[in-house]
Amino acid sequence: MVDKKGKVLLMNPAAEKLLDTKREDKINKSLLSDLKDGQMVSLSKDGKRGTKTVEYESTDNETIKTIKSSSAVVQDENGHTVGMVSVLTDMTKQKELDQMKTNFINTVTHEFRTPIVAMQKSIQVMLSGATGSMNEAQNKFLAIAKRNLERLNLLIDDLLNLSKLEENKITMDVKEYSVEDVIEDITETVGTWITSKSITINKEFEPNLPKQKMDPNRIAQVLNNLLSNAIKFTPEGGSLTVRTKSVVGGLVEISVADSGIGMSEEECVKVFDKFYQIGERTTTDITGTGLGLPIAKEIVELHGGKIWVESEKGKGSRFIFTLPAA
Amino acid sequence: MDTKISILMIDDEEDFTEPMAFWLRSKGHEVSTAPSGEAGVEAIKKTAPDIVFLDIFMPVMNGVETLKRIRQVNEDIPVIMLTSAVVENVQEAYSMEELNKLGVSGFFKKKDSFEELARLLEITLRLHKNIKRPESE
Repeated sequence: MVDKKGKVLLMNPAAEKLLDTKREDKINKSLLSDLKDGQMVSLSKDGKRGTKTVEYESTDNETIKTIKSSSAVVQDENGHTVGMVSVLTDMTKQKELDQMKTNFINTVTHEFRTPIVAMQKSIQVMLSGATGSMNEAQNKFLAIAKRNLERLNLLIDDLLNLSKLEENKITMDVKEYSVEDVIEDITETVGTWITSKSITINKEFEPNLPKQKMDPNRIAQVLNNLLSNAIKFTPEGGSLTVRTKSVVGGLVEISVADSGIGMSEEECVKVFDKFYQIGERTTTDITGTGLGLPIAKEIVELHGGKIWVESEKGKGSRFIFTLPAA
Repeated sequence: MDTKISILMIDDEEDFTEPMAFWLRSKGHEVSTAPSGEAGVEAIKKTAPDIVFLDIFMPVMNGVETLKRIRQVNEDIPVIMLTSAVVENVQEAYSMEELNKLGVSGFFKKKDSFEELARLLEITLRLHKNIKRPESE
């Protein structure tokens, strides 16, 4: 517990141990006052109010400690701030585990690519005709092998992508941009797919919509994932609706609605989980890795937005996300 | 592409270089391979090929180190970097600035098609018009 100037008033034994210090040395002093130069590694604030993470080098064994501190302001009866009470949690072990997980995923995915690429090149050289002509059945089965290696590659890309997003290792290039431009780009990209299924796409853009703060490439990824899903689950001859509108709180709401099979309440919750797949996969479908929506969720949340789905069995689904207006 | 050229492929993965070399030879090019950066530099010292394909991720001497050594013996030879990752990851691992200073003609993602490879070769050859032709031409 500290006073309004940040000087320590109270400290329990657990806090002493965590900060490897003595209560006597800290009382009436600022909490981080006797840290030597360079001992502090980083101090970052979480999105959540009153929570921050402190990283510093421990004095006795030169290891980096990560401590999460959740704080609440203490006010007197007149509503004046008199101090602050902080609960400290040692996150060092968890941080190490997270780092190990990331390293593991990165290593494994890179190690996967080497054998995949050797198989791909061997198949490609046969399919190119360079090794001699092949009959129809040979062509067909090599094409199946090729297609499935592409699927494996997509899965690796998505896994790497998601692990980086979860670790906040993605550098975002945020600028003022119009989501409508991104929508136009993506609908053009999926144009042939839409035409092949005779799907109509309706765009209902709010006139004079303010621009949004976003990394256009990342939001393109979100819209690509949402539209791909919508197309996948819309029957031939069906329709899609992409809508934009401004909502309270300086936000812009973007929604992608399909006329597909819809989802139950339970499915609506699970749909943002990793590897969750709805319905049966067709053999030629290489687009689904089960990671599209978790990736979309991470990206939207990195922008300070929210993503959710409204759906009813048999009535289609509507995926909605928000972005801060510029 | 009608130009027949000599190519050196430096990569520790033989299972990758074999089908690559087979396809390039089927297009009439002369292809030799080197399983390490060290062996690649030695090969260039003996006979300089028209184009070098160089793997970025190799044990012992990686692609960037190898390229530095190549530039010590040959400043002009066009080099195309081979990468199994997506290009953005390469940018993360090695600064593009460093690679550009060493003179890289392009990147080939190993998973990409032979059509893409042919396109990249064509562009590189156009940019290096002074490339010598093998004597058989």
